[in-house]
Amino acid sequence: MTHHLNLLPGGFLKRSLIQTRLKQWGAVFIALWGAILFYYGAHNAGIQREVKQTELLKYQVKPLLVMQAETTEANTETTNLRKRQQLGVGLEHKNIPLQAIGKVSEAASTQDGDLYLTSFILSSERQHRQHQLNPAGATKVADELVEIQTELKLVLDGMALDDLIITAFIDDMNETGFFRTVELISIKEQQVDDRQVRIFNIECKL
Amino acid sequence: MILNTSILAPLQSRHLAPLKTWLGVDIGRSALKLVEVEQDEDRWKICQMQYSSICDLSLWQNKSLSTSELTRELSQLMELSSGWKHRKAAALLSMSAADLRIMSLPKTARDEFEEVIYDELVKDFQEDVIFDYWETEAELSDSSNDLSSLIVYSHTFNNSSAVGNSLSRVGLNCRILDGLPFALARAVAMAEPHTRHQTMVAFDWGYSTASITFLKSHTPFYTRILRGCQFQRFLEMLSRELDLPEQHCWNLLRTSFSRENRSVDFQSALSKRLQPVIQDYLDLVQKELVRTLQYVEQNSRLPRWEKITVLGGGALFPQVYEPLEKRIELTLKPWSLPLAEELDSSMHRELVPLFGPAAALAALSFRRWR
Repeated sequence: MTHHLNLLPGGFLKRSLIQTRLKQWGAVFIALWGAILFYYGAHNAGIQREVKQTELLKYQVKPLLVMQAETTEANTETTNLRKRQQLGVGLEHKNIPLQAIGKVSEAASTQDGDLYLTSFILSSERQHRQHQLNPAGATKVADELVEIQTELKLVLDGMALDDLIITAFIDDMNETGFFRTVELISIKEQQVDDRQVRIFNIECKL
Repeated sequence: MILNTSILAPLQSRHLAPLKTWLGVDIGRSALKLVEVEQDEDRWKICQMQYSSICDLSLWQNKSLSTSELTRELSQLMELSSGWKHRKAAALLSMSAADLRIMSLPKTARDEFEEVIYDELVKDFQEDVIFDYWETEAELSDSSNDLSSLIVYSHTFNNSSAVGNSLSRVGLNCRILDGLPFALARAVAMAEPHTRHQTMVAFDWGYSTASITFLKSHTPFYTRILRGCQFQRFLEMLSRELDLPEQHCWNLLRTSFSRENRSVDFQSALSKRLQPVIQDYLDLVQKELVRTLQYVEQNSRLPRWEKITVLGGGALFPQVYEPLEKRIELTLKPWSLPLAEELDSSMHRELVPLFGPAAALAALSFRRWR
């Protein structure tokens, strides 16, 4: 049922409708912005809080991580020392443990027949070491302790097809963990039958 | 629901209400009327009203409304009340600037109807027009099965634009430019909401046009302009009799006819002088009124009406409408609506019948009317 007439020109009605719609959408837009800002504010505060907590935890955990790394390193070193000690004990009793021989031959066999060991010599030499007990004492005469130690070394002679194979062999020997140092003492080129090969000498200190 | 009924309730009732209600702007020939209403438990109340006489202004040039004059007048009126800026508004133009006609048209599509109406109106007005229409009640129309009888209400495009522009310039967002019959119907419904099932008759005794509208279920059933019965005619007759300008005659009537003013001797002397003029004028009004009442009585099956609600200038003077009551043997009751406490003074109460259509416009903010 009609309750009124409307004789207003269409332009006014359209303008009025546009104004109303603009106001409505403006309100929606402002509300949306408000919600976004509110959400950002609330969320940002949370993120900042979490970042602070993480940094605090990192700070608290850092010494533990360092300690863990040091422990791992110490454990590895201990294991290596134990291996070397076993090998040394075996060598002192002129009884090279099978484990060491196995490791050396394993390292040599990884080179796919391009490397051959020709000799395997164990030698030992006595060394004198000095320990300075009071390094800061300028006025006092430093107490010195002279310790006599036996250094064992394994000298390997062999031949290989090229330098790279020798380097790879040295790396493998280092990785066994039995030796304190693995050093290439000498290398030379030699004609064997119709082939040029490398003759090497490696010294592994225990 | 909870939000509406509890949390936002204080806001809705006090703070948001002024933003939601509309202003009613009645642009008459002699006065501008601005009203704001409120509804409290089905009872309507006028909460703000402003009135400005524009008789001496060049607001109207013949039938054309001046945008600049209207803007100026509205602006001054708006400044008298607070909180009227940036509000929605509904307006009404004087019936004298409108055209009301019944047209019988072949039953076709709505678009074709409107084209025919537009062409005919433009031919008569010789300028662009804006119109609205509604169908007449079958019992009063001459329509057959092939013809539709329509009541067409129109304004010139320039006048409608002037209203929209002026209201816009003073910061009002005009949403509706209504027609008088519907405004009268709502005004009666606001004043007497429980009369929906009765035949109500609204007599707008305006300065430039006197019109009568019969209401069925609070909607216009039949409207007729009572030719030569406008209140201005009475003022003209008085002016001739007393040899005074119309505005002075109006002022004289306003002060002299007040019930509480003047001595008995003065009243009787004035009455003796005015009586012949009143009688002559009432003869005209009675003739037109009775003719219309008889027409509707004879041509419709409307239940008999018990009274006529009077609005406009004529409703301000009992010395004018009371004799008419006796002549037509029907009660003439001035339109009234309660006033808000801060307005409730005798001066405002006396003017209330002028504000019927404006109040009905302001009530358009309530969804019930839209």
